[in-house]
Amino acid sequence: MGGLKEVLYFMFHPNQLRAIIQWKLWHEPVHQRDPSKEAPTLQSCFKFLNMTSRSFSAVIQELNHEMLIPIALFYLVLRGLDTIEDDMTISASVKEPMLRDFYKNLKEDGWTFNGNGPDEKDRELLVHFDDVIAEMKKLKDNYFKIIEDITIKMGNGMADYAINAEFQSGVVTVAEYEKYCHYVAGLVGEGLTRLFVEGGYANPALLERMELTESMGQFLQKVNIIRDVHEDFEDNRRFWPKDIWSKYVDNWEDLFDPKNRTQALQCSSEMVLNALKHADECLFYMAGIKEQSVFNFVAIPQTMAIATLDLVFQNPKIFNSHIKITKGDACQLMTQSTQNLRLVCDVFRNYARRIAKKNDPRDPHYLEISIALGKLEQFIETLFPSQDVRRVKALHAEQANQSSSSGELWESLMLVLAVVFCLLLVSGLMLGGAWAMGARWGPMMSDGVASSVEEAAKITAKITHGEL
Amino acid sequence: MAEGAQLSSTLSPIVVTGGCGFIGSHIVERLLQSEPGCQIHVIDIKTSRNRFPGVSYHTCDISQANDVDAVFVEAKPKTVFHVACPDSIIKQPSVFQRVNVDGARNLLKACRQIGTVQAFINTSTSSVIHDNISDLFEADETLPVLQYPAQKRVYTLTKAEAEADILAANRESGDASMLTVSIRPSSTFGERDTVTMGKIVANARAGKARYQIGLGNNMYDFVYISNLADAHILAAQALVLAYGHPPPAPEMRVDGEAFHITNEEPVNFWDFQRSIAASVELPVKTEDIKVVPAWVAMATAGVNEWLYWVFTLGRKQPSVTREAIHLTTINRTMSNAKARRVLHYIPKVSIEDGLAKAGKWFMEEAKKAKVNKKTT
Repeated sequence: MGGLKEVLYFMFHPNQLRAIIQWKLWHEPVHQRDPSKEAPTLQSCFKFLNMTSRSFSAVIQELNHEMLIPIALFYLVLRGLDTIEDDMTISASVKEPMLRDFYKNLKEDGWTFNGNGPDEKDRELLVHFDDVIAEMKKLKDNYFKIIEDITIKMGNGMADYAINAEFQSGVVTVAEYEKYCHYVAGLVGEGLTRLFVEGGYANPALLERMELTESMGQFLQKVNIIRDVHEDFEDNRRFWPKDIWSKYVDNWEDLFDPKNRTQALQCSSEMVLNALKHADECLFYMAGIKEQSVFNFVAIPQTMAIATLDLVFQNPKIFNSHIKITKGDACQLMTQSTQNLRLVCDVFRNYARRIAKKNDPRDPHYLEISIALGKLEQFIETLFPSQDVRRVKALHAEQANQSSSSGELWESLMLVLAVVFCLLLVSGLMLGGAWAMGARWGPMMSDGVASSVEEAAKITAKITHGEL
Repeated sequence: MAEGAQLSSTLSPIVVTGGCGFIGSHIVERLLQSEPGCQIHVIDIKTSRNRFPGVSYHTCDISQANDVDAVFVEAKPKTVFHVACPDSIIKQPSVFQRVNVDGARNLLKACRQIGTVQAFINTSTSSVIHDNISDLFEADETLPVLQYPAQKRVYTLTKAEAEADILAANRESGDASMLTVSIRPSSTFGERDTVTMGKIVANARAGKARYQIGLGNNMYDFVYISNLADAHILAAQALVLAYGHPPPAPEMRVDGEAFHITNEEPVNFWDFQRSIAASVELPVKTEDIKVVPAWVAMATAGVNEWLYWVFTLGRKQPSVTREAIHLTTINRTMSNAKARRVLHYIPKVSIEDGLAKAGKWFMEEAKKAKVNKKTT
């Protein structure tokens, strides 16, 4: 039955089907793994990568050979850490030191852990963690150090949250919210940027502008937090900061009450606005990537995020269901994200405009959202200017020259006179004919033709020239 | 350092032309705040509106040289803010020529005669670099000032001519002579604004804010009035500091230069219009927005222009022209970078906050008008 439903869906959405086919048929990975040459421990690592990540495993496996293994292992190490943090069957007092000392395991041959609860979805990874450690040992020292450093920072961050009872009841301030996003996403970004630069695949200047890296992580994490609000609510988790939602409802659960939909949507707009502020810095960051497979790796999640932001914006469904971008859209985004920065900018601009279209003038953040979108468009404009000052100048100079050559002026004057004469003749004949037949048009002058259009245009005339 | 700079850069005595108008009155207000006790002389054709205590008001037409001279003899100004300008919408080329071009020349002549003026700040318009047809993206001051036939508006041509005259008067007799600068604001809005915001508010009150021409993806730069006043005062202080010294390096120069002033917050043109409607508590519902396709609007305006031309034999022009329609559908953004770098101008009030203040003012004005009606 599911199949039939899909057939019907694609019959009415041929573009979606087209995007999927295009991606499946035409996408050629820049690089591909060669499993036959891999050690059994490495093959095992990729097995776990496929098991633990839905979205990342494919893009990771298309990375160039230098980055492939460090980034796959980086992912698995953090996933291991996350599996301990997530496990509610481990008490906070046991968990805290485990998280803080997790980095030590990376150097301990044969370390495994089978103390996870039976329902923990990624427990297998820790049971066979010795495979990850074996591969980590083969890494170049500089890559190992970066992964270790981030593991220390993230372990400490998670440990702080594990023992902080207040956090268990949810974040309060926007600063806390951003700090949380820093620990779960910003740090990942930091590690990745350092790996890219170390390998020579990104501009080292990115290390001096770490706020760009931070924005990459914050943007992805915030979009996920907005999209998953209902799912998290059902799991008794809350990441939306109280300082934001308490402006709209008194209790967190009221946000999900259908009778508070207007307030809930206004609240979600403020969350979207908060996320949107990172978008321009994400594009800036991507301009610093020097290699195609790394570019694809960083760009795909970002375009998915801006598309998701458009999907959740002004969408009441986020409060009662789990929504996702369609498979066709995802395929199209992947095609567009695996070419160059210009196309990625186009994707961002298109979605920015879609968001603008849904922006509600009654919303308290209407103008702020519009300005944030304006900032994004302005930034794209600075990357890829639509106007070349030198060309504009040349054009005006040329025009000035033309008008000064009197021969041509005389010629065009004659032409204009001829046209005016014809027009006068024709309209004179028409009007004279009408008058002869009895038409009189005195009162017609008092009123314009299309008053609403007229009003709107009147205003612009004043706006653009009435500064003074 | 800041203290010292402030002391040496006192602007008083000051002449403000057009000081009762929208921009002029805000400059007067900011001057009174930043330099309490400064002497201000306002020249305006109508001095009954927007008055502040402690300011001398002179009812005077700047196109009358003798009247201007008389005020200058009395004021002996150190700083001149030249803001006066006729409404750009009235279509009387002779008025533009008389006030914009002759008026500016009269002022420059008066400055030369009196010999006390150190700083002359001209309020120009960002339209001097725009032909009203092409998109402007992040336009900066390196774009050429357009001449006829690229520029067709008489208003803009006269403003450009005045700007050229004023900038040519900079350092005209050596380093110890008057310094001049030209400020080109993007579309300005705020309290007491009868032009941009006044019309949009009136439009919203007539229930017409829901109309939109074209796709509505075009971006514009605006500037809130107090920020624009700040830019004027910063430019004046820079000139007074530079007065009497040889010109600084080109990239740090204020005198003889033009500056684009924006709020550094380009915003969707139609969103801004709807935000104004919302600021006076008349928000448009998303589902009520009515999009008139650009070509329909253009065709209507074209027919309208044609009818006017035929029936008035070219003596009158409709207020809505294809040009005006076209302007609502194009991008018009400007770069504020030079003002930020050289004038150290930073827009202090965001568009959001500025609109909230201005919206409140419009609401209060409407309330006052209502009360007045009841009492009379």
